[in-house]
Amino acid sequence: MTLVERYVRAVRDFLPRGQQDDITNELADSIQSRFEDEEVVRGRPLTEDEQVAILRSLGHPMAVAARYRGDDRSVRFGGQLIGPELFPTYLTVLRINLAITLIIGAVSLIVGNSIWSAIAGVVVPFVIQFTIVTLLFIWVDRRWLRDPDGWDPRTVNSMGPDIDVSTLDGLAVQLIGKQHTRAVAITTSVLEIGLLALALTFWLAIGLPEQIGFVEPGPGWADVWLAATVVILFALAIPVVNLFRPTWTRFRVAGHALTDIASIAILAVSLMLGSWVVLVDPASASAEQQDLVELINTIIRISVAFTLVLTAINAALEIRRLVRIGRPRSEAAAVSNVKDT
Amino acid sequence: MSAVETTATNADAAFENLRLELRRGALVLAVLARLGTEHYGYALRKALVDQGMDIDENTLYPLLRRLETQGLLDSTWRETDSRPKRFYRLSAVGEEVLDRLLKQWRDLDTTIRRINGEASE
Repeated sequence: MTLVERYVRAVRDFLPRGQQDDITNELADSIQSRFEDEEVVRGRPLTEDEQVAILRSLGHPMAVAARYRGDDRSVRFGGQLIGPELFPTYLTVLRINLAITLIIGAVSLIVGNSIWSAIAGVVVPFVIQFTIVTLLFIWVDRRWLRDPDGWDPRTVNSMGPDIDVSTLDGLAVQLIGKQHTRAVAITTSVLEIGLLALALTFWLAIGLPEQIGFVEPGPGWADVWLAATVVILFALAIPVVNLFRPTWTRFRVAGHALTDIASIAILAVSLMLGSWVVLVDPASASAEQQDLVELINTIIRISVAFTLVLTAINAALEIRRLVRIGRPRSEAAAVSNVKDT
Repeated sequence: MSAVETTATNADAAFENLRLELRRGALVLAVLARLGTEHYGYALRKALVDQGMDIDENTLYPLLRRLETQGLLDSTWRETDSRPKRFYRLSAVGEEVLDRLLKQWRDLDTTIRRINGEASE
């Protein structure tokens, strides 16, 4: 695949579906015409570095595609903090966060019977998430989109079958075009820290209340809460360590496998214990209250069982990866990028 | 940073914002005026740059699509130099709009000169 084809494919992924062919054909022709003009001026074919310099001058594929979307919305405070290229994604992430927070708030309102506990349960986590998500996007905007050297046209990838964008590594490769195959990318560690910090915020916000309205935490929740907190903290420690020791790839895979195994144990114990919320005073509870508690426990039981299956599959994959990884390579070899692999 | 430097920086920033605002409309006019004769995107950009209207690809191509969507341009794909290229030219509506915009441009120029105390031509 030529540099132009690679670049145009990457732009294509961010374009509106109906216009992809039309825009990319025109863009490819424009770049090729520019290369030809430069070759006439220099009297020789362009070197790879010269082609890279021209592609860099056009901008990151995501930035190029954003111009065609015609959506100029951005986050500004004095200067531009999050540009139009990332703004739609930023908005989507915030909407998902808000939706999750509102669901938790609605549950708090139903079981807590207090509008203030529901508001506090929505506002505080959302403000924390808003701050973390915004700071993360500002950083991404500065690091990748405004810095012409922050990405590499030689390795920038399309979201084609060769790249798995469902993983943070794949997403990092797509955005900056650099792949540290034997080291954990800083981007990956930062994204993981952000996501796990969000998860921890939610978990601590829910906490272990003594009583919420007419219900209180049952054994399926109360008896495993502390263990689950420790597992989340351990999971958070893995990307923090990798941020400073990116070559510790075996540590990362082993850490993930261990986290998954511990999670399976906790979820299994939680399932066996059964009730996640129980009535404070079963004797005086109304039939509606009993039905509601039963409904909540059923929903949680299904969610826990589903998570248990997913975690077991993930644990199997992590253990297989751990076996395959073999002995760690030398520090010097570990920081090579995709070009020399 | 001294107060004088801060004032200069603010003036530069304000000028840059206003310049971009002013230029945005002028770019549309320049593109429409140039497309009285047929061009493909890259050749159009070169022609504009050669005549002093600097415009980058990321501005020109989305602008061409927008103007076509508004019915001011027509486009066709043709094979040239063994590559398919998209050729643009003014549509009938585009010609009419260009005439009116050019008249508006000249009127504005005269008005601004008058307001600015410059000698009328």
